[in-house]
Amino acid sequence: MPMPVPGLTETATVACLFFIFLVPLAAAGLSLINAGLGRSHSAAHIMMASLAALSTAGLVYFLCGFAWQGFIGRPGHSIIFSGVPWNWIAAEPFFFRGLTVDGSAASLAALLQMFSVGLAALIPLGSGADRWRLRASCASTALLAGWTYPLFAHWVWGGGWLAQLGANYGLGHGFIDAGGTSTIHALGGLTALSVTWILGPRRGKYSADGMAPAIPGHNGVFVLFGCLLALLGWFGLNSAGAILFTGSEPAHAVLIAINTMLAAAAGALTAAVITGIRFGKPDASLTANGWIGGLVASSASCAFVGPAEAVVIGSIAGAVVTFAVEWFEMRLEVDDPAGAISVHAIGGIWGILALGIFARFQGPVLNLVRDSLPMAAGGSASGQWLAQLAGVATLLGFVLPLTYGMNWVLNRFCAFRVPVEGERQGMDLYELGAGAYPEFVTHTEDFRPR
Amino acid sequence: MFPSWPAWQYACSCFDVSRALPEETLRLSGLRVWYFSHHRYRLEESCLCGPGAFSMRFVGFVLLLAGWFLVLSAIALLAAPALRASFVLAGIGVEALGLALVVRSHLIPREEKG
Repeated sequence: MPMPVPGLTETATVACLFFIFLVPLAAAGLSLINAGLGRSHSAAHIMMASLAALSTAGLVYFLCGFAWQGFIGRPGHSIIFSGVPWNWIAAEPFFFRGLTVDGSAASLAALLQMFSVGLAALIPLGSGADRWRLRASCASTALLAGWTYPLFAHWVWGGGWLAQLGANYGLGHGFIDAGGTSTIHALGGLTALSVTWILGPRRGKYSADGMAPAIPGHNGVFVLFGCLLALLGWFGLNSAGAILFTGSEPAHAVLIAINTMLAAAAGALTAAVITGIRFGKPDASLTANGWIGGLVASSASCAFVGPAEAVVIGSIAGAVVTFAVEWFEMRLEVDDPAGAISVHAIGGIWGILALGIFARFQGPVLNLVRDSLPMAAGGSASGQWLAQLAGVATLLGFVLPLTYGMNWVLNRFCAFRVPVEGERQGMDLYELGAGAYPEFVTHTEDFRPR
Repeated sequence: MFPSWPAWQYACSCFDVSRALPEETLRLSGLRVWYFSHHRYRLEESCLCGPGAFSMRFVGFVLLLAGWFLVLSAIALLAAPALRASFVLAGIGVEALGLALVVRSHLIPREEKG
């Protein structure tokens, strides 16, 4: 079905540009959180890896990512299945050559994606902290930015088959994700799960008697300051995404910001209360995870729910993330220092489903697939939950095997894990040759006395 | 057919197998069956933990894909909302089973802990 190219008013273009410029703050926040929850002797390494991942992701997305992701109303490849076209990949030229950089919706989307693909690439870094080689993380990022992310993002944001489930099969408005809960966070979280499985746990994490001693993060201030930076980034990400991919008006950004803040607050407080009840005192790192979990869960539905629903979504995300962190660590033996899998994959899946449960649609133009809505504006879209469920099924049934398989093969060519000696020394000294805190040398066995 | 020798050797070295096999052995076509069985054994031994973990993981990922195809087929081929929803949920169930197997295959054996 041919789709019109969405246009933006001048106000919307300026507002969108402003919101996009906030998005790198989310990357800064996530980097600080990853560094703070890792060990002190790998702090510089993880910040360096974050910078390298952002660079790699941006360049690879420029090279081929946008060519496969595309945008609504632009050329794509379809296959016919049961008489219906399934748009599965874009057909753009490489190096942005088909893109006119003039403030059009497509060019703004390309700019936003250059940041958001980097954001997705930062998520696995937290899970692989203290043992993932720098060059291997860059190679894995290239795969994510060059293939996994663009393909799935095309399905959701590029007029692909998931977005058109409403037009083609009457499933509500099709799969909707305003701020990147699925495309950025769930995808990044599932990649983190794959990488963590391939890497294995840190040395000494699981003892033979079945205990899993805690390896606490080295800087709680980094973590909590990262949460505040991430909030600003999320304001931009959710607002820009809603304008570009769901046709929201710029004035709608007020509601989006309120919902984003409320979800984060509810997530953090829920995590603090739960840990306070269970452990006697609130846990700072889990509270931070609850905050980010609330932000992640709010992204998909931030433009389609009221403040009360945002509080519910954030609270549930905070509770789910708190228990998921412990569950992954103790039961599933997944060593995830930053809790990225719980926050981004589990919180993301909850956010996707929450849209199907709580969303109320006000206008006829959603998902930018115009002329396709099966119901009158103002009502709730029946079948929306099924479209969201199809998105979750795609993440688990397609994205997870794809990202696991690609990283598994990559690990054969470019070993992911640092040798035992590197893990003992710390990633800073082993891979970078200098520590983050040279004045506070605690690993004296690494140096020879003069 | 089989790829040329340098490519074959390179592929083998990537899987850390060729070092265990003499060059002449690989060149003899009669022993290729042995090579594949040995290769699979080495894969299980070198990068997976626990007996049967490789098979369990493989089946798990196949079930994940199968569940996804079930969901897609239900959406594309079934028109009745109730039937479509039932099959989509069944597909999710198959995926859950696959995920459980994949997770189970990644549990760390006791002898490797510590």
